Amino acid sequence: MKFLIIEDEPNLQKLISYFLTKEDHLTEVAGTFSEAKGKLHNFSYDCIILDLNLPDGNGLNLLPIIRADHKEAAVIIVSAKDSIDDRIKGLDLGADDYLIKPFHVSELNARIKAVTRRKLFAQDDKAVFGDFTFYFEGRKVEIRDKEIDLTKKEYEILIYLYRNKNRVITKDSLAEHLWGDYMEDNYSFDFLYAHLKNLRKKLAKEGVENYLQTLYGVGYKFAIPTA
Amino acid sequence: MTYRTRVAILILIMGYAALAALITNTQSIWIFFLGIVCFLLITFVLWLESRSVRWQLKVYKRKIYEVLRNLNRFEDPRDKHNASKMESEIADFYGNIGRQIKKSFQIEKQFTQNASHELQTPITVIKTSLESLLQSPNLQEEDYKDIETILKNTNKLSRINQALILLSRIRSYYNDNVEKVNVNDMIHHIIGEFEERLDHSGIKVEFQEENELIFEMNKTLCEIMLSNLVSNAIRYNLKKNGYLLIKVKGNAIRLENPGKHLTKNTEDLFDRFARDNDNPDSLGLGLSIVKLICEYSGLMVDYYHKEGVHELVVRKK
Repeated sequence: MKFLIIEDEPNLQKLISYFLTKEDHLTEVAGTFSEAKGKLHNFSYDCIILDLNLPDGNGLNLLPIIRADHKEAAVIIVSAKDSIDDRIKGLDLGADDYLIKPFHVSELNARIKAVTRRKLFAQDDKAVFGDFTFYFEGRKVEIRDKEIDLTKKEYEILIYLYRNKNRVITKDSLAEHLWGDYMEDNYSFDFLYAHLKNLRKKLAKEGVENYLQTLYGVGYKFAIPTA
Repeated sequence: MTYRTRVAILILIMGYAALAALITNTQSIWIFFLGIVCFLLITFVLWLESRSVRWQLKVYKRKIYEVLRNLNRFEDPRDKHNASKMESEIADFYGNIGRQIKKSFQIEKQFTQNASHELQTPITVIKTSLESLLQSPNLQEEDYKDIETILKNTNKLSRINQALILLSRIRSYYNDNVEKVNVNDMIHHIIGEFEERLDHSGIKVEFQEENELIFEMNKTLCEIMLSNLVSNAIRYNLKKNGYLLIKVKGNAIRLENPGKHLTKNTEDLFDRFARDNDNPDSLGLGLSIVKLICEYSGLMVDYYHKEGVHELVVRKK
């Protein structure tokens, strides 16, 4: 897929671009409102990552242009402006999702996958990964054609792990994904460990617990185990 | 009529009286009587004058308090056409104080807003870089531990920053969308939100409703305030046999939970970055957020502690 990253902070621009390139996407960057406007007029993109605070204008004003010229593109707003007003305005103007800085790359990744799947591969309701088959609409997971019984939270954890497959995700990003950022201190981790323990048990029962690796207290990785 | 003209008229009257007495050669008792009348008149006029000044002071004092409470607006209440010179001076004096307070408030507000917004991007860059570093296949166990430490502290930094943004926002937005909030409904909603955490910690919740309670305030702030209180009550509850008792009675909400014996004065726990020494992970901003919301919404919050039982009470002023 081809991405346009509209972000004025050079470090962040580089990091998002680096991360997307590693996921085998094509990326282009625009650091200013006018640069973004030019690129949007001349090229086509599948997904646009839009920062609202640009040095020469408000990113919100780019949304009508995006919607006129790039009907199919998925748009994710990324901004430090965390007012509810901006969020509603952004979504009203046709953005598909809204992410507040500071965010985890894994969260951005999960949102991109969710949005692009919804928009670009709407007919594609299932995904196969090793022994796992995910059904997004039905919110269910099969392991070797056998449906496993998951709680809502366990399903969310597994989908988040799947959307970030083959990458290390931190336990913070997982906790934040599940409960939002108001869950504080070690308490939320106790909580996360409890859910993961149950999930791991269920995976173990089907003999696939080695898909889920723990990395020295930092985080987790969901990958097809090397034999 | 100003003070001076009134006094002048009185002196004139006195002069005329004395002159009349001299011309008509009346008895001195009448002159004495006239003197007393004039004296009383002067006193009365002076009293009127001082009352008007006092009233004027009161108006401005009230305005200053209003400005302090509601620092976004300051209007000069003076009626420009009818003001005497003295009233004008008072108005200018208080007006200047009001404007100065407003100005320093705005400078401070803007600084907090800018500072916290400017911090968001570098924090995001640190987080993003760390997550990217984590993907490297060559990391050793020691590296993971270092990254874990940096991540943990970056997250804390980020949470402090978000709480500071919230504090500055409360002061800017508390007055927007003020509505009648049904506290009982709100508490039911919040207990629902925390259900999972309550179950997980084995805390029994009881909600006693003696009457319906309505707060007139911004609904989002009401939710933040009550969520913070419930979240605190869960976090600082006993590990075993914990409970949370919420009571709505009269004009007050009471939240009671058992916990540790406090080493600090309960009042101090409302200060920013105040926390009990046993909880190094807590930011110490939750209760100051609650207090600020109360202050701006016509509410009062008190913290009572007796032998390990903690009670927080929010009531209408």
